[in-house]
Amino acid sequence: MASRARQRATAGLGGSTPPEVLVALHGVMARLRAVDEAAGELSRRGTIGLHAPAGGSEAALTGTAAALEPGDWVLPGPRQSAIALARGVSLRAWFAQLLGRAADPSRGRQAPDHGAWKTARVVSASTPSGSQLVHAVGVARAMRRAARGEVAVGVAGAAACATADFHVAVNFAGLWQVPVVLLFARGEGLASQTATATIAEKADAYGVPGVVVDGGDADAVRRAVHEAAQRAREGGGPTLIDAACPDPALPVRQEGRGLRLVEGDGAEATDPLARLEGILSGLGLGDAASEAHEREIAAVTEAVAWASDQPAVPWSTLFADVFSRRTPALEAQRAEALVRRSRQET
Amino acid sequence: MTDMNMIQAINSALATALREDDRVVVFGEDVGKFGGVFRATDGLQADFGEERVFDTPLAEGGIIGTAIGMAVYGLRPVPEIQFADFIYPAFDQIVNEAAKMRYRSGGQYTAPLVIRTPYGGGIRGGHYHSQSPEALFAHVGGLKVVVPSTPGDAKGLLLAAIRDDDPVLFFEPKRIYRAARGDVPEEPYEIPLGQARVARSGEDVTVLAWGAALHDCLDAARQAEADGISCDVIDLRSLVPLDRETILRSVRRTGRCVVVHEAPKTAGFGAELAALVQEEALDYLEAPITRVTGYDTPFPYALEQEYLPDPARIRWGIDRVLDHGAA
Repeated sequence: MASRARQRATAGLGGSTPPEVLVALHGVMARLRAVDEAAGELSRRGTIGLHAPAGGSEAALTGTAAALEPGDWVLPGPRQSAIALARGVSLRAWFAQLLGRAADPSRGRQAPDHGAWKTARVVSASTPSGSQLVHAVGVARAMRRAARGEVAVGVAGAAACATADFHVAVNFAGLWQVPVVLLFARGEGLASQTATATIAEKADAYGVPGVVVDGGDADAVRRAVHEAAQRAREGGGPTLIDAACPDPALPVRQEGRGLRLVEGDGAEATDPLARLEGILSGLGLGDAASEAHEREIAAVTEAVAWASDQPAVPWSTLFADVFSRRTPALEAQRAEALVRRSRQET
Repeated sequence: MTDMNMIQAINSALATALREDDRVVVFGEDVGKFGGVFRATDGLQADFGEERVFDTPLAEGGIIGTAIGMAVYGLRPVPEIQFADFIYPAFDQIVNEAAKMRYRSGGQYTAPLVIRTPYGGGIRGGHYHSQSPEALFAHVGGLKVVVPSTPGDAKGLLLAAIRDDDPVLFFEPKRIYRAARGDVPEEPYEIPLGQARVARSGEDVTVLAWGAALHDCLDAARQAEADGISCDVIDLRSLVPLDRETILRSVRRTGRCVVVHEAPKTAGFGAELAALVQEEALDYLEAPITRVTGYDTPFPYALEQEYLPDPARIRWGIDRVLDHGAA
C-alpha cells in the first residue's frame, strides 16, 4: 500500500463559513463549557464522583458533532463523552447520569461522564484509555457491510496514542480500510506519551491518512471531520485526525458573562470560546455570544436542580442487565439481599 | 444423525449459524483462507465468502475489540482466539468492555459475541498451548462460560451460544478434538446454556467435571464400578450459568463430592463448586469435598502426563471421599 502524504488542514477561523453556523457552534461550545464547570463543582463538593475536566475540548467536540449525520456513531472516552450533548442529549438527562438518578438512561450504572446515549448513537465510555478506538473500527466494519453510508468516529485524548489499543485500532483500520474516523482531542502532555511531535504522523506507518487540525477552532475541526467522513462514506477508508487543544486541566474563572480558561499566572489562556467570540464580535455578534453563555449557565443550573430532585435508582436494579436474563447464581444473590434488606427494615 | 468428531461438529455448527443468520461473522488468525489451525473453520470462507469468514492480523486485542464493535452495531460475531493461552492481550476488552457493555449502558447497548478458543493440555504443547483459564472468566460478572465435552454437545452448545444475547466464552477441549466421536444431528438444534448433563448415574459419589476431564472421570467411574462403587458423573457443560440444581440434587443423594479439572488447584473453578456445595448441602455431606486438579505450576512439557488428572488420580479422589471416616 502506497504511503499517504500527511495533510495539514488549514486553520482559518470563520473564513467563508456563514455567521449562523459560527453562532450555532458557539452556542454548543458555551453549553459544554457550562456543563464542564458545573460538573467540576459538583465533584469538588463531593456530590458526584470523579469528573475529569474537559475544558478546552469544546471546539474539537462541537466541531466533530457538527460534521456528522444523525446515523453516524460516536465512541468517546470519558473526557470526550460530552460530545453527546453536542448530538442532542438533554442537559437534564446528562445531569441525571452524573448524579446517578433513575432518569439516567444508563440506570445509574456508571461513574460521571461514562453514560451511554443510544438516541444520539454515542456508545458508553469506559475508563481504560483507547479501548473505544478498536470498537470504532469494528463498528465501521459492520457499517461497511450494511452499506448505509454510515461512519464510526472514535474519539480519544492524547494519552490514548501510547496504548496498545491505539496500535491495534489504527493497524486494523488501515488493513481493513473501513469507514472510521479516529479523532484525538488532545490537550497538553503529548510529549510525555510519545516521541513524535504529533499523533497524525503516526498514521503514515499504518497506511492511514493523518490530518493535523487546530482543535481550538471548531469550524476547522468541523470541516476536517466532514471531509474525512465523506471520504469514508464513499469507500475511501479511514482517517486519523489530530486536533491539538488547550490543556484540559486549566482552571476556569468567570469573566464578565462567560467562563474562561486561565493559565497558571492568571493570564487568559488560548481559550477556544474566547477565540470564536473574538470572531463573532468582529461580525457584530458579540452580544449574542454573551447571551449564549448566560443562557447556557441558566439552563445548566436548571438541569442540575431538576436532576437533584429526581428519585434515586431503585436498589433492585443492582441485579438487572448483567445478562439478558438473570442466572441462578444472580437470582440466589438477589434473593439473599432481599431477605437481608427486609429484615433490616422491620 | 452423523458420526462426527468434535472438530466436525464445531464446523457444522458454524456453517449452520452462518447459513441461518446473516448477522453471523466468523474470524480470527488463520480462520479464513487456511480454515483454522485445527480445521474448525475449514471450507467456511469458500462457502460463505470473505465478508462473512475472514482473517485478522495477529492481535487478540484487535480481534476481540473489533468483535465488540461489530456486536454492539448488531452483528453476531464469532471470533476465534487461536489458543486460550493467547487470550490475555484481549483480557481488558473481554472483562472491561464486552462483559460490562449491557450493564454499564442500562441495557442500551449489548455485546452478543461468542469467543471460541481451544484450551487444555495433552497435546505436548507446553506452557503456551495447554492452559485452562476458564476460572479467570467465570469470575467476571457479565460473561458466560461454556465447555463442551462431546461432539453433540459442542454443536448444540455453540449454536445456543451464538443465539444467546450475551457474551460467551466457548472453551473447546483440544485434546479430544478428534478423539471424541459421537452421533450429531445434521439439522439445527440447541443445547440450552446453564444445563448440566448426568453422564453416568450413580449413588455413592458425585463427580463434577467438564471438557476433556469428563472422559477421564467416566473411565475412572467404569473402573470403580468393578469394585462396587457407583459414581454419579455430571458434565457441567456451562460454568456460567451454572446448573446448581443438578449438582445439589446429586450431592444431596450421594453425600460425597469430587471435582475434577485440569486447571491449577488454587482458585480454580473447583473452589467455587466446593464453596457452593458446602453452602447449600453441608448437612448432606459425609466427607469433605475433594478436588482433583492440575497443580499450581505452569503447565509442563515433559511432565505433562504427570500434571494432568488421569483416571488413576481421579480414582484416588473417589476413594478418598469414600474412605473418609472409615476405621
